[in-house]
Amino acid sequence: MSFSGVVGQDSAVTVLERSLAAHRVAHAYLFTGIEGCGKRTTALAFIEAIFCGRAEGCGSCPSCRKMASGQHPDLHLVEPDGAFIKIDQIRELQRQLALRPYEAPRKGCIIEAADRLHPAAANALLKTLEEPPGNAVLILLSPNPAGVLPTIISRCQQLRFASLPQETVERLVLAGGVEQEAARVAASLSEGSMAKALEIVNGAALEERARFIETVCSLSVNDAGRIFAFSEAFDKQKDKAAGMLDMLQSFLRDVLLRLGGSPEIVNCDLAPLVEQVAGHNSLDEVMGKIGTVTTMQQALQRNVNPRLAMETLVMRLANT
Amino acid sequence: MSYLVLARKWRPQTFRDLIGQEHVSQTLQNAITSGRVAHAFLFTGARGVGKTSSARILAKALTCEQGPTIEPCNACPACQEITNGTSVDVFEIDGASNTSVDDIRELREGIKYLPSRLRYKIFIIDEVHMLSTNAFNALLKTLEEPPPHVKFIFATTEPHKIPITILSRCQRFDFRRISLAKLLERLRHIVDSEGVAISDEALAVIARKGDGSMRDSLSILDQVLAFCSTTVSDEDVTSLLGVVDRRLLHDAAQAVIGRDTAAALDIARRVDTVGYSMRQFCQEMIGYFRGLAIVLAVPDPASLLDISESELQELRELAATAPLDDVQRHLTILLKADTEMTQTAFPRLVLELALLKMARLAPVVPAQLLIERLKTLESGGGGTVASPAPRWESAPRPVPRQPEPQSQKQQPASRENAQVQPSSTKTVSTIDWPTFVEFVKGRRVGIAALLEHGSPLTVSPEHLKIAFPPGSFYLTSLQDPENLAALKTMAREFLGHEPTIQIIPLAAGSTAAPPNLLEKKKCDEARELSELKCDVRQNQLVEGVLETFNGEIAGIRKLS
Repeated sequence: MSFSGVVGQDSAVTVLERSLAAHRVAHAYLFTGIEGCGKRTTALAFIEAIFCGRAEGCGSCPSCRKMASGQHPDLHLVEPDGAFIKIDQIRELQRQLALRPYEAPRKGCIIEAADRLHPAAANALLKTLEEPPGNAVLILLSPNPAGVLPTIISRCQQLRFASLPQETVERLVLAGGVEQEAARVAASLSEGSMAKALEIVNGAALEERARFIETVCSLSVNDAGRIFAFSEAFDKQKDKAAGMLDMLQSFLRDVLLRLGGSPEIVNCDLAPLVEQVAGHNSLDEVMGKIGTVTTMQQALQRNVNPRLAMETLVMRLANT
Repeated sequence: MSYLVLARKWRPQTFRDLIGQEHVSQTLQNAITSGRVAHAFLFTGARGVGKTSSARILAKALTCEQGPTIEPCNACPACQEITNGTSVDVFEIDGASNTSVDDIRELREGIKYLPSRLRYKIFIIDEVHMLSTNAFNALLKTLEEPPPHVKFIFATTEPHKIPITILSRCQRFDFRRISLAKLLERLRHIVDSEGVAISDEALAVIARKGDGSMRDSLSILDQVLAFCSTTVSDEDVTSLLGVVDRRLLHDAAQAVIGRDTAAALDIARRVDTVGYSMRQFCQEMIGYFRGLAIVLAVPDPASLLDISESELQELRELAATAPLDDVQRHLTILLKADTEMTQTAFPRLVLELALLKMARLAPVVPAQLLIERLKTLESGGGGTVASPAPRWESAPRPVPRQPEPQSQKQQPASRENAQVQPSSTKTVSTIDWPTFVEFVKGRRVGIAALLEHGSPLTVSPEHLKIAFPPGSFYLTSLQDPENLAALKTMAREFLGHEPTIQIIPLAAGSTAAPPNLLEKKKCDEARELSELKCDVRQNQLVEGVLETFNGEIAGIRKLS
């Protein structure tokens, strides 16, 4: 995997390539940008290039091949274990980094979702991040840099990754052998995230989403039975809850844009429904509803009873 | 040797190099010369202002072979070992990784032995705020009376997390954020030594982004140098750092103040297209509105704002259309959005919501005016209160900007104004039925909902006669004495005096009764539709299409 495999992140890749060429590779980077826009791919390509020693990473030497198969002994990956990256994971990393690199010129480490470092873990990382032993390279990835400790950010070179343009996502999804129409909808729903677009085209996510949103829109306070039945059904698919709420929020955002006088609509396949909901609600009401969904999203992260939360949400959203 | 980032390469090695913290270095140097060096120090301050560096410099100054000196020589083995982090008697401990009480016990075990080579045994505990409570408490006795050969230096960004019992045993030094001028001076020194050509403006952009922190500034400079190598152009810096174009900020503020929701949403789109981070844009907006607030509040804003004359002029023009109260409320919304962005995965939506809220902000009614209105109400019979709800639809509207009662003299004038208003409305002989229902809705939604089904037969300030379908739920509910009394009270509030209210059943088959509000709304919509149809038919293009395809109009839908 070399830099050529990274799509649509020219500015970030240029910075990295030039720092490689000028031998000014810093020891700590923070890549920020939405989920699925190529941060991880770029980080892997960058480390491959460092390990290989040739500007791009040749792709054929033993080191590059080990990188490609994801089993290079000097590359360390840290991912959240559950909701957080725990302090033990960081301690283990520090132990590993204290050792000499096995075959590469320096050790490489990628920490994913750096905003989900537990506060204790983040603090434990500070000294390592400032002066890593044996000139290791640490790359932190985060979709939400605001959630990263300022003391961590201060020690890193921060690189912003733009979200991919819609056309690029559409082209890439099309290349994967998906129908034109589905690709277009997926691209517009993806908000520039390749991972999200693929998630949407794979499986029946699109129809499920349409059904979900239509149901929510049709619920009415006067028909409490349906509200409870709906929440119960929702409770059975907890793992999808976050995704569905995202969809709902994106839909409500379209309604908001429609009312606010902006022509851009993301859920183009649901345009009639957007029209309809926009006709029934005022701008303030829609803002309130979006606020309700946001509250629900935050509540779900804090382990509330999903069914109760859903009931409250739907009742607030339901037509009166 | 591989590349060392600037922040590490240029880490200050003497008190002289330590910029912006003269109060600390002066105190420490004086303590050394007078032989009054404490045994425990606490260095606190924001990130990247020199805490760890100072700790190392102090350690060197105390143990340097040239005797405790006010500037370490950096040449003797003792100094060099400390710089390289290999000294056997200076322990730099990562407080965040070694947090437990066991770690502290281990430290205490070793503390009683004399230093092996140097004058002192020095423990530098960085990020000390992460120690557990037990660990802190285990340290208390040692920290109070350590053996004479031991010095403690603690460094942290979060002093509030340290127990007061620890604080009281340490000499505390608060490190300041480094001023822009000092940052610039140091950056200039570094780029000159590195042989890099860069303009003062570009350096200022970097220093400003560093926000008072030397390390942040140097990290950014490093990135710029990696991108541009030895010759740095201003454009490269602004594009690489994603500095938000001032034009965009101005447009955003204008859209918001001009109450243009579509333009406000367009701003969010532009921010996204250019690829700025939403949070950064939000923060720059906060800065921009801060500028507006300062221009409005201070007669001579130039001293408080670090901007050029043309930018100041631009702010002044914009400020002329926005009262200070509104600007403050805009700021509140932006600040709230800024905190929300730290928690959301969808910052664009947060920005859009904030911009919409700002663009739809209802204008402030000065408290003075409200009090006057209240007084008129309380005095009873003083007349009606006109236009209870402020309207916001009108674009740059002449705001009822009541000057703050700066002196007592102005008071009577404003009171007079307020009194004239109600008495002038008193002469109005009819009341508007929909307005009245709206007013009722504000107090008792239930009653308003009932009223919406009624046909107003007579509506005058003295007499209200409302008819309902005979035997309907609405009729019986409104005839209920409690509801009727409530309605009467509200009518009195609205009119200033109590009219007679009659709730009667609608005569069967009567078509003469005026339509109730719901019917009226439907009628209006139908009429609008038919007018639209008429318009569409007259449209030549449509006519052409109809003719060519031999079609017919199935339906008409409004787009906006």
